[in-house]
Amino acid sequence: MIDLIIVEDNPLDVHLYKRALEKELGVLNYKILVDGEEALLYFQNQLNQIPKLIILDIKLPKIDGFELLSQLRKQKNTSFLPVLMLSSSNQVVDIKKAYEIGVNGFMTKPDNYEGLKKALKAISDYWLGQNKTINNE
Amino acid sequence: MNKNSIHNPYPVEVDLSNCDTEPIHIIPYVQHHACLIACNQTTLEIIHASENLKDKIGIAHLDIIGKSLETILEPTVFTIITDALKKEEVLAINPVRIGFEVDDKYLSYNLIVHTYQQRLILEFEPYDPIVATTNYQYSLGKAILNIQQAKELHEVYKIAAREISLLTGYDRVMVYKFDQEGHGQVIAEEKSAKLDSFLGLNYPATDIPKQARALFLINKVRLKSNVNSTPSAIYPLLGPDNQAPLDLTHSVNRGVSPIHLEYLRNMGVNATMSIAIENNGKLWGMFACHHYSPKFVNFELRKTCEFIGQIFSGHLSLHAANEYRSSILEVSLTKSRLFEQMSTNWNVIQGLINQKTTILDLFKCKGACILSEGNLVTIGTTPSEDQIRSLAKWLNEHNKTAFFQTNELSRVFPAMANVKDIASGLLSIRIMPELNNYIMWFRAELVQEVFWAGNPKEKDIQRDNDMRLSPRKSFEKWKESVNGQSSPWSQHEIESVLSLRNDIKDFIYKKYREVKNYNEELTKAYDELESFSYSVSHDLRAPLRNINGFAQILLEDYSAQLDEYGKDVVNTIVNSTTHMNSLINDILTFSKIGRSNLIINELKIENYASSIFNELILIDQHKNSTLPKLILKEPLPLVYADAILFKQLMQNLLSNAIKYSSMADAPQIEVGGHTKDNVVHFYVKDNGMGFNLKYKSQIFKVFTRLINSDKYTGNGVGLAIVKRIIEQHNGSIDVDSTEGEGTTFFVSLPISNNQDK
Repeated sequence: MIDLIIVEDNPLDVHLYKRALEKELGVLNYKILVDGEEALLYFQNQLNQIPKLIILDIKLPKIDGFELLSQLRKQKNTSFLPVLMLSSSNQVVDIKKAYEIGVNGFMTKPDNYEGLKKALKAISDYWLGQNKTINNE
Repeated sequence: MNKNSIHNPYPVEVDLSNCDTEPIHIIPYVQHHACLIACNQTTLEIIHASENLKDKIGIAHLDIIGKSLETILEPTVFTIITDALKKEEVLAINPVRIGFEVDDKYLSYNLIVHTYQQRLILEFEPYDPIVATTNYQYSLGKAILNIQQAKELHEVYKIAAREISLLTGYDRVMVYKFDQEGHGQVIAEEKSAKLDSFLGLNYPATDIPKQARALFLINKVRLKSNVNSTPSAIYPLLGPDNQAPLDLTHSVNRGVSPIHLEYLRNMGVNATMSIAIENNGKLWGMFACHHYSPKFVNFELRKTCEFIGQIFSGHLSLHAANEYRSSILEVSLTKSRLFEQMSTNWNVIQGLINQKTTILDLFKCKGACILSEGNLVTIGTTPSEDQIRSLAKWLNEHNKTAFFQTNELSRVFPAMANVKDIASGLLSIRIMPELNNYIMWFRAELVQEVFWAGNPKEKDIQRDNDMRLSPRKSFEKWKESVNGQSSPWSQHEIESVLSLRNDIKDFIYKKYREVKNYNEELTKAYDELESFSYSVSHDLRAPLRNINGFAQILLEDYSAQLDEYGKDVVNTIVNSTTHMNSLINDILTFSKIGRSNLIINELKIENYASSIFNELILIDQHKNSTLPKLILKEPLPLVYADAILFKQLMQNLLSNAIKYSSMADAPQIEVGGHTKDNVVHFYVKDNGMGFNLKYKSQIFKVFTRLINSDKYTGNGVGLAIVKRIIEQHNGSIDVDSTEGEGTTFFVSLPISNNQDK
């Protein structure tokens, strides 16, 4: 059973996400997809159950986050899925565009690991219904 | 009243008012040096004879009237004349040498014959065999050679005058040129040293009346051998067969008009000779020869002079064509230099006036101006600014075309009468028909130009004040007749300014296209900068984030294995990533200013100052330094600025002030200001460490910090942002500082700002 799908190509970011999710937040039922095309195929063919949240980066190989999101919104079985964008961008144009396509939330990637941990906790608390406290707090 | 005077068609009293109607061709006299006989051309019966005939050839005139010409001439001479009449080539026999016994003396004459109006006219001129042996052919050849060597037209004038002087021996030989209106000017002169110069003198057209000029074209050489001698009357006044006076149009020795005699006497001139200079079928001018004692020039020499006149005329056409061609070349060179200057300086006015070559170099004129978008720039001698502006206004109302020219400005626009001395001539072009932009050239009044040329010298012509006719009077009359006039603008000059106008329009269009290109490139550059910033914000941060993340993991998972130094090292890595992130943020902020549109609002400095100050203090509160005090010197002026940018500006100035005063005993920050001449001035002053003003120019540059100390953190972007925001508002910033006492930043922002920027 998969609650969370993260589409992120940067392996180092992926590593940090994994560590924060597993070690700090105890979230284990997630799946990582590393490029836009792979993600699109997964959503079209292999999506067996409805995840609680999809996290998309904007800059992705082959198909970027915006394009992926708009495909999801067009597809009947994915059009209603909650999608959050987690990107390094803090540009107004990107935020506006994301909401126009139909994102459910937009968050800029925190500059440091402490920030990332806090952000992921807030996300999982809200979207995944997890209420575990961060270890070092 | 005698019989003659009743019928005399020549007025007894001639005054200056009837100069133009004086019938000079029928003056019934022959000059004293010659005598004259006129016959019926068909019957050869003698009709008229001069009354001095007896003195000259020993036969009384009354004795021969009504007789045949044959009775007084040697048979050979008579045959020569009748043969020539038959062949209709009378002039070809001139001169015929002839002699008469008079009072036991043998007198030699040159007989000059011509026919006119059914009369055969014979003139007897004295013949001096010694003078006549002079080799005129040789002199003429030399003269022609010299004239041919002249390189420029003014040299041709000068050389021709000298050659005629050498040939004839007159005291003064002048080249006299007529302008389009018939006014004359002395343009070259050869004279004996003791005489005053007449060079540059101007004479009104009336000085040489129309009919004299017409006669002159027919009879190209005119001689007056002695103005003080008594001429001999022609008898009878009217021919018995035609009841008409003898027409002496073609006579060489015709008597002289009393008006002209008076004029010559007043000048002290005793003998003259004039040689017509014809050019393109018109009377171009003449060689005027003056002698101060009686002087007679014989037929052969007169013919030689006439020939020099013809040679001279040929050279006129040649040189005029050359000079015209080289002046066209000169003008087009000047124009291309002007165009180059405009292009190099990127400015019409700069290019046309402030460089080495100016619009005054196009042709002869003393002043010019450019009136462009309300700005007036002048060069040389011009009317005042107000006068030029009123002239432009008048042109606006009266002339809708691209160009205007006059050589009598005060006549068409009387308001310019008081500057006619410097602006009688106006040549003006309007650059863009819809805009009131003008370039004007001014040409001085002709009289002024003559004075500027240094002639005529007042002293030369002063002494003849009380005479009815004199060069001075002539000059006065000429001045009157050209009052308010400049020399006319030639077709060539007009064409050159019209072509300059096209150049300027081309330049403006070229400039417009370049600006448009630059704008496009600039827009492209900004777009590139935008995507560059985006890349920076996205791509540069990712590795930083990762360095931070993994260093953090190191601390979390391996702190047990790390000693204190190892932990410090990892902490430094973490802190450095934080610092790098804030640098990236600052530089992005900086690059964004200048691309956003300003939304100008009326803002209260005190509100911004205190709320920003309080926020900044809040951040600093946990530090162990003394908190600074904010003093607002009220009343503070309102500023007109973009709210977001103004907030950034105040944030940077205040955080700077807080930062650098933090080490002071009682840190204090003061904000004050006032409004003057539509500019808001305010300052932010601290009592901190200050800096040496020699570094003043550096502090507003990006990434420049004067101190490198842990005590004062910062990226060196803050003041660069401040400066850029102020420039965006068309304002300015200055700084004053004393080391150890504090720093004050002075900001000036205009009240009326360009809201569309």
